[in-house]
Amino acid sequence: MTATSEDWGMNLRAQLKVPVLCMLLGFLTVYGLVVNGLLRLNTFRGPPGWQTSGALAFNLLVVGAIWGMSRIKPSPARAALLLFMLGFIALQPMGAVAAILGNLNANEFRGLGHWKTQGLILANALIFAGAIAGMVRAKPWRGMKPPDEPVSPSTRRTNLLFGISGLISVVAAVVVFVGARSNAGTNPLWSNTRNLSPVIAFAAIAIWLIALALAWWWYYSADEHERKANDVGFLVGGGLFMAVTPAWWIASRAGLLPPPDAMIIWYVSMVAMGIGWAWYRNR
Amino acid sequence: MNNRLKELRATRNWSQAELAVQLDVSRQAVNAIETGKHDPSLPLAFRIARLFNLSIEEIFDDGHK
Repeated sequence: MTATSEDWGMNLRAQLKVPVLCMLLGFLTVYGLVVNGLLRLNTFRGPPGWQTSGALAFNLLVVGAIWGMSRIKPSPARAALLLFMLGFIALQPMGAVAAILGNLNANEFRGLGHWKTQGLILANALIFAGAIAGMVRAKPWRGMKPPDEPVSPSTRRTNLLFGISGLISVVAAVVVFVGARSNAGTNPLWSNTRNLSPVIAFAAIAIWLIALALAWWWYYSADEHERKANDVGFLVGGGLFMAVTPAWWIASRAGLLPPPDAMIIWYVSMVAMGIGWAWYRNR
Repeated sequence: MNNRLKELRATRNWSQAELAVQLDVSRQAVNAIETGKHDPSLPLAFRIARLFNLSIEEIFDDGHK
């Protein structure tokens, strides 16, 4: 029996969904890290940098694009693009708040009363408000799924839980990143130096545990195919973790490698887990 | 495991997504079962059989006579 064109189209969409989503999230994360770095290092301490003004101007363009997209016919692609752009815009105000918190004790910090600090906060608030207003006008939820592709209630619930869990995990990473003082030549997110305040640490741990709880809820409410895909992902990621951790530790004891970095191994294992899950789910 | 799910779905003129809604699973799950990449659990096999008013053996074939 040959596959219908509808099936081919669905398979192609399913295969493209994960890599496209990964690319968008990756881009969003890199942008967030860059903007947060600029805010902390250039804007709230030294003289205002042209990079920060450029980032604000770029966000203004994105707000304009959101408003412009309200004229386009609703579709899943339009909905995805609108939500991506909202995430894009949301990173800068989040970064500004976190950068202020992270800079409060820094000697170079201008202070909350300085007009440049207040101006930047106001600019971020206005941009974010403009983006929200554009979203309300564009109504991205109208094109969330095509009318010819119904979704079962359990799938809708698990997709929502998965999305919320992923979003909260990103927030936890952003909190850790912006809460860390970056020293030249070190990556604040993966650094092993003791540069996190207890408040930031508690916040990040709490957010992460909430994300994990949601992920477990997602697992037990997903259908059997989704659960199997998750099991395969765990097998791949867990297997990698169990193989790499002791090998690195032993190599370190023999002086062949530096001491094992738990977060690097965890991150690579998570990526491997995601690949295993996506392979089984969309093959 | 071989199965007639795609053929049965075609007789009802359902898309994979429509069948997925009937079974309360994702469209990817239906696609994986149809292509033999995922063997359904016994409860899901029963749901499929009831939906088409057939027995499990009439839909799924494990290759043993």
